[in-house]
Amino acid sequence: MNRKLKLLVAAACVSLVPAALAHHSFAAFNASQQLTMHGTVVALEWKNPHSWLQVEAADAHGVNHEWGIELGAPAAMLREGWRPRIVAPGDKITVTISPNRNGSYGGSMIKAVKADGTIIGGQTPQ
Amino acid sequence: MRRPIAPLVALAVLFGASAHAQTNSPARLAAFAKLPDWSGIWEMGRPGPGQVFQAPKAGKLTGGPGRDLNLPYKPAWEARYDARQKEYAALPDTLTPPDPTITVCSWGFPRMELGPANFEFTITPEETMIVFDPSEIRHIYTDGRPHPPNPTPTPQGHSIGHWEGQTLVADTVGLDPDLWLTASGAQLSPKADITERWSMQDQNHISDQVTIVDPIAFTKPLTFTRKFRRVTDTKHQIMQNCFENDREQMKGGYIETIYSDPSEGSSQ
Amino acid sequence: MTPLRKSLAAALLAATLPAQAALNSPQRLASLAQLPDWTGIWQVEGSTATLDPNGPPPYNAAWAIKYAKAKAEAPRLLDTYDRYCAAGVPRLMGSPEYFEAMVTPEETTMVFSQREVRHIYTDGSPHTEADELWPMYWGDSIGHWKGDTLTIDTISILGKEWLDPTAATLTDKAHIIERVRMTDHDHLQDQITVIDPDALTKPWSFTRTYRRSARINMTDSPCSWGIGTATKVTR
Repeated sequence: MNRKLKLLVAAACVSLVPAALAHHSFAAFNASQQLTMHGTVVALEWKNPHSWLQVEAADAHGVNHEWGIELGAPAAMLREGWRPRIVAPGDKITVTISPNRNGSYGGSMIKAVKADGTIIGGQTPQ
Repeated sequence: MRRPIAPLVALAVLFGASAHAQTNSPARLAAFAKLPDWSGIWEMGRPGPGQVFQAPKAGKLTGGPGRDLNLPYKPAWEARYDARQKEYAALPDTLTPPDPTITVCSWGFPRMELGPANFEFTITPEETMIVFDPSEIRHIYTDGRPHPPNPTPTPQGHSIGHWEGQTLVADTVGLDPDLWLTASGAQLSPKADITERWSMQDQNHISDQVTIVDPIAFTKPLTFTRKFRRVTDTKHQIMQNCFENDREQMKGGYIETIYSDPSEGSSQ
Repeated sequence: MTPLRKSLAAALLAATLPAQAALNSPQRLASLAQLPDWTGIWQVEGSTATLDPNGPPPYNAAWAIKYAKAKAEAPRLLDTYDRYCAAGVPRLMGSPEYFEAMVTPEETTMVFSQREVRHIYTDGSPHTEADELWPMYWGDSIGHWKGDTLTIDTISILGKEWLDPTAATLTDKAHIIERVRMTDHDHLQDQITVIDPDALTKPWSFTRTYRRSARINMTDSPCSWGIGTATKVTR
């Protein structure tokens, strides 16, 4: 099942790769494409080896789907500015991801922005 | 008869002192005085563009910090490696190669040094311990002991070492051949013998010169240097437990990732 | 020398490493002189069937009911130790895993045979800030030395991890205080007190001792089962 998704291709290329993603084969994600969606936080699963942000967003037809967005390990996420409770279920959020090649509702996190415009994380570890 | 009080008292004091005089002996302190202070947290540094662990094109080791390694494989091993790359390249998009860092949560040595971890040294006269935050621990014993005669293969192997000034020279044998050396699936034989020279370049940089001798897999020794920098935004390590991973499952010998929220058992 | 050359020279000096600069400083050696030597491999004495050899935690009425139910179900469930390949704190201190306890001025690092690590930072740091904490297998530990005794203060543990095979648990708010010392050349002792007012009627105190092992090598012994175990609830 390959759904055609309308992709908003961001101008900037991927400049920050979450450190903990480095051990995965990148082949699973479509690093040359980016998808931005506006949705609602279902949950932030803060755990090893990867944290996951579950986001509910509507597709081009207005149908809601829950997306599983992969983040780094908690220790790495802290260094990038994420916190375990930085978002709560029900929060509005805008996420930009590298979507899965296979068309499933998932991808790897590139950028997350709160409703008030604050970028979540995005700091460079020192 | 006069009792020899003084010697008894002296003995009591001595005995009492040795039972409770817990502090490091002068000899141990003298040994510490010759050792460097590498306390703090260290890391490889964030991968730059193109440095993430990418599955390589068939036939060549590309992608990731291991991409510059150019493993000097013998023909049979090269052929096996190439076949593996073709196998992985042919996987459907829903599956990823069975990387032991995911399948059994184990990186091992020296792969952990090629990975996105931070680490701490604990240097004592008897041992240099290196703790990597994905819960991988190396014990490099510097008390003069030999390797055990037939060590059971483990991910870290058995490591012994000695100090040459402020350089730690270590030797490791007994490595588990089922683990991967690189993200692309390169492996070593059970006969791999790895020596290292750890040294500090300045207060913020440490390096490890690694030489792999593998008479079964390699045509010649392989030497490379891993460089590490000091972490300054964090003072304390947080240990990771990979086994709380409920997102990756095995499917037909490969790894499948679950993107929907997995359901937990009710009693947990 | 011009100001620029001077600052460049200073930068160069700072960046390079004078021969003695990396060696343990006199201050670090002075700190080491005050610390005990716990070198060796240690293993718990006594039964590992419960964390407190005297019995279960002093649960309040509600938790006693919860525990009775959990204990009854425990035989058919996968112990969290097996499910997540971690005993965690405080269970580690009554587990069969052997360990090294390496003492330096900055930290006492307890490293256990199944890859579990306790970092007990003695560098004067307070606990990690609340917004950076979440319930963790080994919690957040800080330590202080008083003579030969290390006092450990641990918060932010993962309360749902079983304390023993009977499925006893705590809350994430449990506060664990330990006093560890070497009682003689071949024994370490840990006096443990668990404070968890939501679950317990009173502070829960008990002592575990550890014997110096004849073993000299910490052999890497990771769990051998693979991914997917975290989702298994029953045996």
